[in-house]
Amino acid sequence: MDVPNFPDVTKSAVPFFVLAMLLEILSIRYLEKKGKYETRDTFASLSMGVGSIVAGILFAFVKVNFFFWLYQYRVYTFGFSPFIILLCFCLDDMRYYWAHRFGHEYRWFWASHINHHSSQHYNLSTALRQTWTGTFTGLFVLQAPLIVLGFHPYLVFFVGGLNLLYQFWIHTEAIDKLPWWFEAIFNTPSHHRVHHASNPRYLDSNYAGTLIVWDKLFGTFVPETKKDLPRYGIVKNLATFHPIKIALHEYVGIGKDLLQSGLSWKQRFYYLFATPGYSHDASRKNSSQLKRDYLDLHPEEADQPGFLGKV
Amino acid sequence: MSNLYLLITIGMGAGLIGVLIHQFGGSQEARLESIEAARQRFLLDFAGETIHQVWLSRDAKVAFLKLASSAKIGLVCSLGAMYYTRMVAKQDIKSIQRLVDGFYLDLYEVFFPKIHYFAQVDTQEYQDLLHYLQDYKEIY
Repeated sequence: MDVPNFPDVTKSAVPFFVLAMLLEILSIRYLEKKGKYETRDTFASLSMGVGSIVAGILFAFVKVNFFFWLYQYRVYTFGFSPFIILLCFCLDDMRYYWAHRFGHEYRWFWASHINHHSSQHYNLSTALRQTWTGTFTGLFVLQAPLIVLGFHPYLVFFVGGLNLLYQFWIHTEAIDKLPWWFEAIFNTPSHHRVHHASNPRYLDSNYAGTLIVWDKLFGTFVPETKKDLPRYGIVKNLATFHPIKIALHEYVGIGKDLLQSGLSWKQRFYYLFATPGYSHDASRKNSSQLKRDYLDLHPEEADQPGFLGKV
Repeated sequence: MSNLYLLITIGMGAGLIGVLIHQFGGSQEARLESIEAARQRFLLDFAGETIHQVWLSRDAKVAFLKLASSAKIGLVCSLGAMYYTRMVAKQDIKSIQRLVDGFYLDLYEVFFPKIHYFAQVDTQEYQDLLHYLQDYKEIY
């Protein structure tokens, strides 16, 4: 079977990323589109993007070797027809949904993903604020079922790259809402603004990569509402623009938590793998607790999206 | 695309983006315009808190807030064009160091920068703040 020469999507798209950011900056300035760029924040995001590409190149061998080893044990051999590529893309998009959801719900994975949410701005440069430690977390094993099913590793890498490329343009405030049919099926700037917001209403929602249908299917979809405009960033915003500190701060935090004296092994395990916001002495709050706190102040919101089942 | 072409694109692109953002005012630093602004910014993140008093630094980049729940101090600091907030407990404070124009606050938090609170040190207001902070950490 001939394997097509799939391009490195992320690398090839770099000129497009640059051009799109320039256009967004100019449209904010001259067309009065919504959005804001800040010099140091943007350089932090760009540095994170470059670091992510470098880390990807350095550690690619881990994934490549693992997937090719696994591919020997596939149950079927899919080809590379347009239908198979589309099928692989859709299945990988569902894989992305769960990987992304785990990235928010378990601190070990959150430590890697948190940097993407660390900017208080929301513009195209935020899309490039990517992890340096993705391979290290081991979450790539969620792609293994696709390999075992019989999709070629290079095809899986290719559709994964396309998925990330799709997500670039949705990191903007310059586009409001798109036609209803598009908003119903695809992830859009509006849906993804919700995902990047730290308002209690929007926490832990809209994990989709390309198709928003996964959030609707698995109960995590929350629409953007004008009465509660997204405030971007994380619950405890960072006090730095330093890319290395942004990339590693949560790991250092985990280390400090684990080294506290007097903890049981169960408590140490929870500091590593429980939901972000866990603390053995209840001194911190996770997203469910923050939502309940909000409902204490706004009980009329109890039946609204983002708060269902939180009372 | 060759790696050289990629590097040139990134370098030139980042430079052009940086220049444009700076020219369009993207390097301006945020300031808390008033005590009320500090109060409102804090309440955005900690909506349920009751604030009794606010102290704003002379450069309007830092505010301390006295909260109804006396176990913690409220903090609002500017970072670039935005702000970050904290609820600080006794055990979170590493040191408070007196200076001729105010004091430094240092926390145990990972990668937290020392905060410089600028003040008119001979005012009663500033003495009240020091007195309040002294309940949480010895000032040296």
